[in-house]
Amino acid sequence: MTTSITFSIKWRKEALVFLVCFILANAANVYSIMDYNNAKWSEIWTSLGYVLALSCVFYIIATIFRILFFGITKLFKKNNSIENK
Amino acid sequence: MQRREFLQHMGVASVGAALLAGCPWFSAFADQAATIGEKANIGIIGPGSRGQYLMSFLVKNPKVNIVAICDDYQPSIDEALKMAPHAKVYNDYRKLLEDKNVQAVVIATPPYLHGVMALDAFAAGKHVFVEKSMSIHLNEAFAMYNAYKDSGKVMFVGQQRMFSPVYIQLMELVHSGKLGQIQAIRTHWDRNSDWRRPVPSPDLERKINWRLYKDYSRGLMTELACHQLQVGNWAMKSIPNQIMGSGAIVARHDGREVYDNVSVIYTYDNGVPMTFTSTNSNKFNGLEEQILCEKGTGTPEKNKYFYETVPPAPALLRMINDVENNLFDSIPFAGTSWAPETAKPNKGEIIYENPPDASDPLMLDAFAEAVITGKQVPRIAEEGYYATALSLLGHQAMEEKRVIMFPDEYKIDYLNHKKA
Repeated sequence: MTTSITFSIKWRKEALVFLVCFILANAANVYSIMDYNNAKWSEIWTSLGYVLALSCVFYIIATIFRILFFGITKLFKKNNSIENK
Repeated sequence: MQRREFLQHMGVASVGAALLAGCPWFSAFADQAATIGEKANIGIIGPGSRGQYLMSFLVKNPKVNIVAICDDYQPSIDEALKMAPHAKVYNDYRKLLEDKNVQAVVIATPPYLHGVMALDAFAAGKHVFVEKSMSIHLNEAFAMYNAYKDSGKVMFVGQQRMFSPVYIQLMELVHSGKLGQIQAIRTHWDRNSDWRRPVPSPDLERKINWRLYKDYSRGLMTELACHQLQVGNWAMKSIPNQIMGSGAIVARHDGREVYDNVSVIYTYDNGVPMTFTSTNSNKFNGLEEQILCEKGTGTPEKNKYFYETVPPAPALLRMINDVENNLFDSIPFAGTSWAPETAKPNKGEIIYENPPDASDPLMLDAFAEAVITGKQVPRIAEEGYYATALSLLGHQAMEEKRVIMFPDEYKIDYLNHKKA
């Protein structure tokens, strides 16, 4: 029971991270449409595939950073607990 | 796509007004329903390789009867008889012309014979389909055109691109102005083959390899240029008046007399140039007629047209590309002052989806219809005449190494030309 609740919370967290990435990718798309010549607003829909791909790239980058962050913090915590002993 | 489907698609079944406006030679099919059950009795003069190719389509047309064939080369007769076993065989074309059963002749001999045969055929009251080029002499081609006019008979010249849906569609696009004004026409036909055929006996060298000798052919000009120059005139709706060129035997020093490498420039009255280049020793470029317009380019042999400005990539991709370039590109010490202007990739658009394999069948069907009705279709003889005239004048310009103006005495009433 506890395992499934933890699993569900983790998935929700990952979905939230991906949603943030998707919003960021969409923001990048809107910015590029405003910034580049001859771009059309219809690209918000027609470039959805590229936006999804960019979201995945953002998500992968975010995951790498999160792994690095948690790895380092875990390492520090481990060191602290050794010193406390 | 089958011929019937094509005709229906192009509006020929009901003889569409739009099609007839651009391609009035399709009026040959105007009475096709009324001529069902009727037959055109045709004699084939010169059923060699090209003649047999034409016969292969004629025998499939229920409105055609091949009633006679004529050749002085027995292997050609034997092959032709396999397709038309009931045809009467002649060894002298003049005897064939005396045959009252023959309404029309298809002349598919080497071009040096076209003139005399066509003139005799008109004199004998026959309709004439003559393969391009009409002749290897301009005065003879002119006489043929006049004989056709005086006879009141039908004359078709084998310029089959006029019946190709791809060309018709492209011309519609060009003439509608969607590609902008024509800036230049570049035609080329490059092969890497020596054009030589095996000869069973040395006596037959000139008879079989007639394309290689000046008394029989004008080589690349009459064999290939003829097709492509007609396309240029069709696109321009005009006839060029200035011709210059350069030709030589560059690679094939095998006893031939005709050039194996030619470059000719034809200039239209508005300054637009049409170039024809051809070589027998390099096939890198293959064949094409590029119609270069302000806003786009048509390449009918590839069945494609290309707009000058390609739609830009999505803004997001452009931004990602810029970010990537800024991050990873090396910073040059000094920027280049010149970058090569190589052509940018452009996928282009298809001119005509699923075109038929060949346009010759449609051209021959049109001839059969015209023979049955006895009505000449507009422009087909004129387009053929000028394609021949320009190819011969190109040859003359190369031979004499000078700029030639289209001679007034050989002009006919057509497009920008007025009969002298």
